[in-house]
Amino acid sequence: MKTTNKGLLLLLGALTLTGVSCENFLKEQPYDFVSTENFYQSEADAVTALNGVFSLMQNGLYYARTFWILSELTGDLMKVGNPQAGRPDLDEVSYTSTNPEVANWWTYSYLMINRANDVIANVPAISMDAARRGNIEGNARFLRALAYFDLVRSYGDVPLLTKPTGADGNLRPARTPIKDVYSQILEDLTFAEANCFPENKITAGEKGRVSSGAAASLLAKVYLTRASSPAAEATDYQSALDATNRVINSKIYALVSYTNVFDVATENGPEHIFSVQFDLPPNAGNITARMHLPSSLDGNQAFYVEEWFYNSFAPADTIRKNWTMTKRAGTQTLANAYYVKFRDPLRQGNNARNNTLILRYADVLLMQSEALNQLDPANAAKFDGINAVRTRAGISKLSPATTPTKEDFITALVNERGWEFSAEGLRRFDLLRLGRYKEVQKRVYNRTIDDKYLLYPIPQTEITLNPNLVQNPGF
Amino acid sequence: MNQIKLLFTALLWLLFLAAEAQTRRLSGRVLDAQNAPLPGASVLVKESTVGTATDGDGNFTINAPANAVLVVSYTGYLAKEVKVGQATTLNITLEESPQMLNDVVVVGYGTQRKRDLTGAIASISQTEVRNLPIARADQILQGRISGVQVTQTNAEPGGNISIRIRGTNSINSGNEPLFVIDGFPGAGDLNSINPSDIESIEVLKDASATAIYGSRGANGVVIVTTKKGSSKQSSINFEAYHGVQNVSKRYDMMNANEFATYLNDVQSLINKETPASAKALPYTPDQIAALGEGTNWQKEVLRSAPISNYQLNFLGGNSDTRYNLSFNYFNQQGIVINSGFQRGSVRFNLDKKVSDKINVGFTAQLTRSGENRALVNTAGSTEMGGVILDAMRFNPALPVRDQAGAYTYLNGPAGYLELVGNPVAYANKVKNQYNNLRGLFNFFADYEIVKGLKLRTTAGTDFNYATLEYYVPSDIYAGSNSKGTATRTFGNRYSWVNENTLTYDREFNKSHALTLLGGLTFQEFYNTDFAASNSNFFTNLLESDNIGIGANVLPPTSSRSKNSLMSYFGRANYRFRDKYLFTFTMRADGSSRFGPNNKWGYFPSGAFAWRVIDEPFMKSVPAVSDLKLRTSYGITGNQEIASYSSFARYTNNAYTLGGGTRVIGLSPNNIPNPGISWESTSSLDFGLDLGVLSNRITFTADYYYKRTRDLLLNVSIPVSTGYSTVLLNAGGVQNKGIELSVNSININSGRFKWTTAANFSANRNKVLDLNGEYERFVGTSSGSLFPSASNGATSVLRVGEPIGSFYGYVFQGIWQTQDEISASGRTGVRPGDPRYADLNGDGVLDAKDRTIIGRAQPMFIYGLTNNLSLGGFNLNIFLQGVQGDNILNLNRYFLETGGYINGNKLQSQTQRWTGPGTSNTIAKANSTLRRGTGVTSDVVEDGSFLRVKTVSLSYNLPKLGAISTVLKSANVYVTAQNLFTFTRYSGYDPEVNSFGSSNLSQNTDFNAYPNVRTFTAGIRLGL
Repeated sequence: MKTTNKGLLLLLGALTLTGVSCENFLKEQPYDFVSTENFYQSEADAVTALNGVFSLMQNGLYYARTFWILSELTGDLMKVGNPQAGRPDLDEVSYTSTNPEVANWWTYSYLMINRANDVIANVPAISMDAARRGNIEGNARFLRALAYFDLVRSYGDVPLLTKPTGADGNLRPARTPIKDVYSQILEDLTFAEANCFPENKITAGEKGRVSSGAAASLLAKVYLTRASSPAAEATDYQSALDATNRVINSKIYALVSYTNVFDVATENGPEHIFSVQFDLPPNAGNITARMHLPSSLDGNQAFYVEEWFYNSFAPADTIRKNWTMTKRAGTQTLANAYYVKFRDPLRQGNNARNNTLILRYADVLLMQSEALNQLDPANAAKFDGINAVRTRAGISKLSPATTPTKEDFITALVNERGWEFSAEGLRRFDLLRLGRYKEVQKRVYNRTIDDKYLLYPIPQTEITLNPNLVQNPGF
Repeated sequence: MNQIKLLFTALLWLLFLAAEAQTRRLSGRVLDAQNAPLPGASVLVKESTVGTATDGDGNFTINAPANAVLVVSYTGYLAKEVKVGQATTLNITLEESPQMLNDVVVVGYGTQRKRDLTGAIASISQTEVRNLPIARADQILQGRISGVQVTQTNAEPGGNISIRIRGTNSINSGNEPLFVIDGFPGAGDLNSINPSDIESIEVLKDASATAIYGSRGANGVVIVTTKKGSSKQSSINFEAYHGVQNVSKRYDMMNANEFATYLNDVQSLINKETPASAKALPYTPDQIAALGEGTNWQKEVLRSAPISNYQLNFLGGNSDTRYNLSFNYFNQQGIVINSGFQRGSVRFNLDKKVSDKINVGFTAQLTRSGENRALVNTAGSTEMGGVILDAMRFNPALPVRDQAGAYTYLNGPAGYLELVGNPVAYANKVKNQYNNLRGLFNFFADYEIVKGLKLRTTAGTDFNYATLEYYVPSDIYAGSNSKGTATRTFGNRYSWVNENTLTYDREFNKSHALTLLGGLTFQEFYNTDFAASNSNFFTNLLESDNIGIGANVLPPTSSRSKNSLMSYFGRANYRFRDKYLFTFTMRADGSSRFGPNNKWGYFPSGAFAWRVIDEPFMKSVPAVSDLKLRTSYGITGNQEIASYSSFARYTNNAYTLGGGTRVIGLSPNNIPNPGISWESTSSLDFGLDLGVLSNRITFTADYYYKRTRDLLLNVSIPVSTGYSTVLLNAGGVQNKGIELSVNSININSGRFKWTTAANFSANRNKVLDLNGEYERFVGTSSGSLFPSASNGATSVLRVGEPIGSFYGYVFQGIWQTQDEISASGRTGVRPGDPRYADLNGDGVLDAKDRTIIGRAQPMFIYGLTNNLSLGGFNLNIFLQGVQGDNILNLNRYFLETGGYINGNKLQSQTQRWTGPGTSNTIAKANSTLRRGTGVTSDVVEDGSFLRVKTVSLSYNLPKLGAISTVLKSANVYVTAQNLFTFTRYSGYDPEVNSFGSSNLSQNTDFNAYPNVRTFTAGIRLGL
């Protein structure tokens, strides 16, 4: 009996001990991967997380290729060469909700938003230098704002997520009205402009980071776009003008010779405001150069220049025309002109060093003109921006004599932006923002575009997986 | 007075003498049916008190009157009555008693008498399988136990085996049963357990038996017990067998002449159909005429391979010690050249009674094994398809070695054939050696606190050191791009376990008996890995031994993980009147793999059994000797989910900043789910055990219904969340089926005995729920076989259908004429191309025209063992079969027309379509439409088979002469394994799964290692 008591007592003792330590015994501790518990501890972690957000943009299904395919094919400056799934219907503006590039654009925008949300949620708690911390958060907010801006002007109302997704969160978010999405975009860009370092404080080895000037430039574009949308506020054009003036008056940026904007040797120069960086292998390269080249020059021959556009340049506009397009391939003359704006003599197969230009100084100048024209068509200062761009291109200036009315000025902007920004992925949004999309489709292609094509359809796979999403009308 | 005394004494003397004259001294020996002595057998003179027991050698002496009858008995054997007659020496042979109900069966955490079982448990003892050349312990289970389907997924020596007990429960997580080896749960990796050490294997099938293992019991439990010593006698046993293996079936490939003609045909068709890419024909008619048979590449990569096993065992003990010391060496070379498996192991088992109340003991095993691996079951790129497939594809017109003796480098003629390197050179020159050192130790101590109350503690460890040496030299085609690749990996897997149980066993009276069990266990598993690779070597001589001299340094990798398990459990067995048996178990499992919100799982079960035979009314049915009805219900879990599933993982990427500065980025890869938990299976079982004619025939039947829920699924979510899937416990699968087994002693008369054991199982599997999704396309094929993601999925996972439903296009024949094609409106096909059904009638052949074209899961499986013995001879014939399953034979995309056009083909392809009416099954030579379309119904074949799995003839040598003083027993045997296979399957073997590690890619044959037919001869000596 005594031994029994002792034995049982020992057993009970052992049991209580185990009860106490069992919590730690069963706790999982990751050894060989980074997880939320062991990340975001230091500045280095914050920078690494931010790099992860940037990294997405190099993807061919995002800013390397899809970005300009969508915008240019649905515009009037580029057409399909060798057809590939999903491209002819963009070119002919007959796309449906199963178009793969439309799906890529939605997918990658949201992937970038989610990564940015993770950084914005976790970086402010890190103890590090406040200015650099603000800069990192500003970078992430700019990228989130960029993605939402892309979404809202492409699809209209879109789900708005500002926090990292958890398993207990709403996994089937509904569409938020564009008014609220724009508010979030403006809030993010305002923060970015206030906290990001100016471009002249970004060292050569850091070029590619977001600067305060980039945030201001994007703000201008956002205000201008909102002003042409159902969510317009009365102050939008003035806000846009103020933003462009902040950029112009900072004297950090300047126009350079046209070829130097795109030449790899002089990339990230004074005209660059924000570009996605590319390099040769083992780093990520840009496939754009090869997409346009004809097969005789080892290219994919995927796109041609629209013939009317090729013939539309003013005779004096040789710098831009000759740099941007050609019909010659070696000694041959081809039937179709092809874009050579993005070229790299050191290209290795699919990989070239050409950066994707998202914002540059010429755009800011033209936006200034656009804003002034809307605010007060009689103000002669509106010609400053567009003339600076024209002078750089070596063509004659515009004046109230050549361009008397507000609508004429918009036409001039449409044309100028065409010659200046062809193949850079801005065309569709320029035409929509300037209200000339349907008119151009009618004039150039003799097509009457249904209103539904002013937006992209939400990808069908998303509609199937998310019963809370209502498709855009007509799709 | 004196006269009466004298008479009386004389009478007494007379009686005494008479008795003396009648009583003789008898001696003899008691043996079992295999002529082995039975020590301690009881020898009694019937209806007297005279009796004795046999000694350690089975000998006895007894005084018995003439014409007495001796009753000889021994536990586990049928008692025998022997008339003494006039003999003075008797040799008596006892037969084993069938289905001894007092037999003890190993259950989870204890043992039970067979008569007291309430759950579905089956067992195999080593005597049933001791003459078989078995490399792995789980091969023992194949075809012998109802409800257990064992598939050799890789026939390579040391290759993997897949076991399913009562069907497939899980979609994404583990489906293999829990292996408990000598009380160590989770000691998988049966490659490093010596099968000759095994005493018995028990398979726990239903919830009542497996719920005691809680979150590891859902897939069934296999308990392996190794041989312990004997407390009665010591013995030294030596076993050895040696045999030869050959491929059981070969493909019939074209020879050089036929292939050259074929290749010309391919090119002339290409020239005719697409003149823009016309080329000269690869062979001139003179060249074709000069070609004869050429090289038989299949024969060149296969060979006859030996297999041998040597085991030396020291068993013995006394009344308080038992020990087993065994040494084993096993060597199985592979039939593919330069492949094989070797294993050496040492085992020491010891049980010691330290005092009246305390027993201690341990089982210890150290094994070193090595696998020389062949390149098989690969995803098959054109560079290194794999040794088998490349040998098939290689041009028979090319020799293995050229005139100078160097290996032919590449397939040719160049420009006409797939770029494939010489498979013989690959097999011989590539080093792919996997070595493993494993130690499995388990110590126990029993303490009887008071009578009936026992405390048992175990402490065990299982550690594995595994290394891989891999080198592809630069002078063969596979290494030409990288100029030689070397890889070294080191892995350490280690686990420890501590189990503490308290058992209370009490028979209160004749009506009530109770056994209570309570337990507390802890277990942890650790894994660390390291790998280093380099390429671009200037010399091949050092292989991977000096990896630093490679010019192209690749970053090394390392990893580490751990998981732990802690459990409380209890069981109550209550016997009421020894007729009504109740069992309740409950287990609480905490696992580190479960998310923080769901750390503990609870798994109860209950069972009831009714020993109908013990009811009074059964006495009126004397033919029935045993009848028990059982039912059980319980919930078990599957914790074989990936560790760390509840975490958000950050994975790395990179960006470039201006000027080409590379920076590393880190981004979240998945949504964390702190609610991750186990998959849970609730199962219901009804069982019947029946014995007739004094248990001469016994019969067991079970019906079960299992429902698995909370399956871990990657559920698709809209990408606006930032992710395309989230891991949730959400799916459901159902399995139901019947199991039948019969054991019968057909004839048992004197010298001749014939017994039969048969089993039959049928399982029906069905997907119940995919979290609201209707279906998804799954299944692995090769990334190079189907480059487009849209046609690469081989199966569909659909609600209402079983797992492993092959999904693809329906083959309807060959397009014979252009008129036929024009009439149908189909585009992109020519006469001679295969015709696939446009099921939705929209005029276009696309992904919507796919349907279920086959099922990997069988209708039923069965096994039949017949054992015949006559005198010292014993013949064992084991048949095993699977019926009604389908196999996806992906090799046919290479071996037949319609897929890759530039490689050698089966001889049957000479009967291909060459014009209207020439063939309706084999497409024209240059057709690639089958591969361009995807998975088609004509490559999904019937995989049913009946196999004469084992035929074994053995002979117990009689004790003659001097040998009998040294040897106690000697047995010689010959065994044939995989003797005949009756099947319609056209591949090497219908038992195949090239992608065996995936639950969703069942029964797919792609570049699999061929199965073998083995003949062995062996001896077994007992000293």
